[in-house]
Amino acid sequence: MLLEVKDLHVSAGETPILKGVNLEVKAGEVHAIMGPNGSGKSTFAKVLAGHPAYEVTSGTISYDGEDLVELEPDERSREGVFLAFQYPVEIPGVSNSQFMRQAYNERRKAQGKEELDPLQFDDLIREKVKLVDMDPEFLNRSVNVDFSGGEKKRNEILQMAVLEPKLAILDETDSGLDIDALRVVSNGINTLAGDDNAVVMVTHYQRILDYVQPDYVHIMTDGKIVRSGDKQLAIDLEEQGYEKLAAQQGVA
Amino acid sequence: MSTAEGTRKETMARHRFTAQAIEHGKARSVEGLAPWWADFRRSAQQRLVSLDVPGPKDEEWRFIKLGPIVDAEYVMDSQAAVEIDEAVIEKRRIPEARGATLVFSNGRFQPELSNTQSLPEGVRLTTWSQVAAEGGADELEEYVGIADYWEDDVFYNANGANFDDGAVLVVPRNQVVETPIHLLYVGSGEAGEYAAHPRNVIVAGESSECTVIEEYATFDGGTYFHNVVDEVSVGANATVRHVKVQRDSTNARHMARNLVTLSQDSVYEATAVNLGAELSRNDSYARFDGTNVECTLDGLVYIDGRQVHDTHTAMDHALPDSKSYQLQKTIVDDRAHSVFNGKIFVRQDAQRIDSNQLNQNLLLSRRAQVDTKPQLEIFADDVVCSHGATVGQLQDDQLFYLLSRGMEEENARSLLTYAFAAEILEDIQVDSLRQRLESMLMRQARK
Repeated sequence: MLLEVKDLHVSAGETPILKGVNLEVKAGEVHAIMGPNGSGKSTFAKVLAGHPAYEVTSGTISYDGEDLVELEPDERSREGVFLAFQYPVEIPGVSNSQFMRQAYNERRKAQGKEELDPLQFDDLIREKVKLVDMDPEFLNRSVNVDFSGGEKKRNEILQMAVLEPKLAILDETDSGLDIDALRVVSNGINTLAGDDNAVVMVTHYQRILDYVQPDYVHIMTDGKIVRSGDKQLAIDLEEQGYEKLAAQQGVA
Repeated sequence: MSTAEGTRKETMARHRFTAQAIEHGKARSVEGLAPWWADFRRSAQQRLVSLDVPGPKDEEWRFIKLGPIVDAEYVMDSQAAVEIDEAVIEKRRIPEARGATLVFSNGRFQPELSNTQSLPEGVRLTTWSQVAAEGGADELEEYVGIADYWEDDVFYNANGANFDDGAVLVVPRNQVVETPIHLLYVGSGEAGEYAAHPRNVIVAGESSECTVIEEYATFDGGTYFHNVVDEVSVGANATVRHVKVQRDSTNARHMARNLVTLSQDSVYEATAVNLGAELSRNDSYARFDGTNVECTLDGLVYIDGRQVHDTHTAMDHALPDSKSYQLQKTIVDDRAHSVFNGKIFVRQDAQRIDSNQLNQNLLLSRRAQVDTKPQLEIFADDVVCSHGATVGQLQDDQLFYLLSRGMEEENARSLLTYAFAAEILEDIQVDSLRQRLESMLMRQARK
């Protein structure tokens, strides 16, 4: 089992947000977590990456046999966990390529592999850039500064492609994308997804599931996964809406 | 009784610092001094008699303590000569400026280490010591002491009472000087704690263009005092780019007045990088003497330990249709203390002014301190002005983003610190200088 979440309770300050999440993800699987605004699905994504604003109050997260909660965010990343941010952060003064090279080399170091110098890395990143159909000029710009919404999301997928995570968590990466960007992002996800890694997509909309085929669909409301199923569940959801489906809690 | 105290009584000066400045000034050679220059020196000495050193009650000085500067007993720079050789200078040279470099050691010009052969004919790059020896002072008279509104400033007068070295640059009209000009001042404590009063006079003729890199550095971490006055006259339609790099010894003190006069249609772009000195003060004042002037006073201060730095600037829009820009960034670590006061005046008849001022401060330690006062005074109605100041720590969301990509916290923090600072360097067009400063900042951020 790559990821095993058991009865996870999480608070932000005094406010409980996740109220007993259970989830099992095996290598080779693609999971979609859907839910209305405020259901806790984005919080869940951020908790997996170790966001400091949230506290795990009870329950466990086991990743590749390790206690994930005990790992710092940077250690999680070096162990192969990747979060594509819902709102990618702008970092003026740090060039995109420098940022990705440093991230890539930290991961390589952790794997006991040799680091790449700027020229070697340039070869690698130019290949990856094609995958997300991005102008290489964006590599010289400051991280996410003056990027459009779609460009920021492509940049997240580019980072994912460079870091080749074992567990990729995508936090509403599809929100606000036009159809071209959505295709590019989906293509990036499909290229990454393989037998040795897993993808957890947190999404508000059913549309991306036309491009990325999930093995499992989960519905989260009020801090819990209330229903799980296959892709059919997303289709039902489209027809019936969250409220109705959530009311049938435990039926699936 | 100390010598300085003896001198204070003898000259009736109000403070031992002014007494010393007068005494040193009187001890200087007058050989080769043009009459106006001798008069200028004497007048400054006379003014010093009645001036006291500023204290905490003076609004412009209230955040810093001047003790390390005004209570010290100094050796005259002329008696603190230290031989330096090329090996010391070599790594500080700027390749682009190889044929346009003046080197000063402990405030004294070093002709054998200097070279001006890359400059186009007609461009005058010399020093006050050479002017005294070789003549040609008269054409400079009108560019010295033009900032007479500084005449009640102790340090301005201490410089006026003493200056007999420093750079002189006169660019004739229509002359574009492609080669950047490097003024390199190296300080050493080897021959005692000296006080030097360099005066750099930069004159850009009508429609001319030049880039000046003014740098202060050390090779031995000595204790000394640089009391600098720069007078910059930017002629009509001329462009001057002025980069100042102050990385004096962290045992040294640095006082600087950069006084700029801008004629119509001129452009002045200044970047002041202050990294060194135990106690430093950098004042830049730009007076807009014509319309359609564009003036930029950017600055970066990055200090740690117990360093203290104070930047005061003023841009005075006296006439219409001008632009002023200012981005002042400060990083303070450990117990360092930084002060910023940036004044922008828009006088009543100065319509259609566009002015942007921003001061951003990054505190890396709980004991670090920042005092900031952006000051905008507008008396005209048709203007676009913005100003602001921020004081904060590294942003949590940026830090988490880097951590989530596998960077260790220490590396992420230094990268963000570096990035905060490096923005100031982006406009420096001399590549090797910019790269050198970038790696310097990177090293400091990793400390």
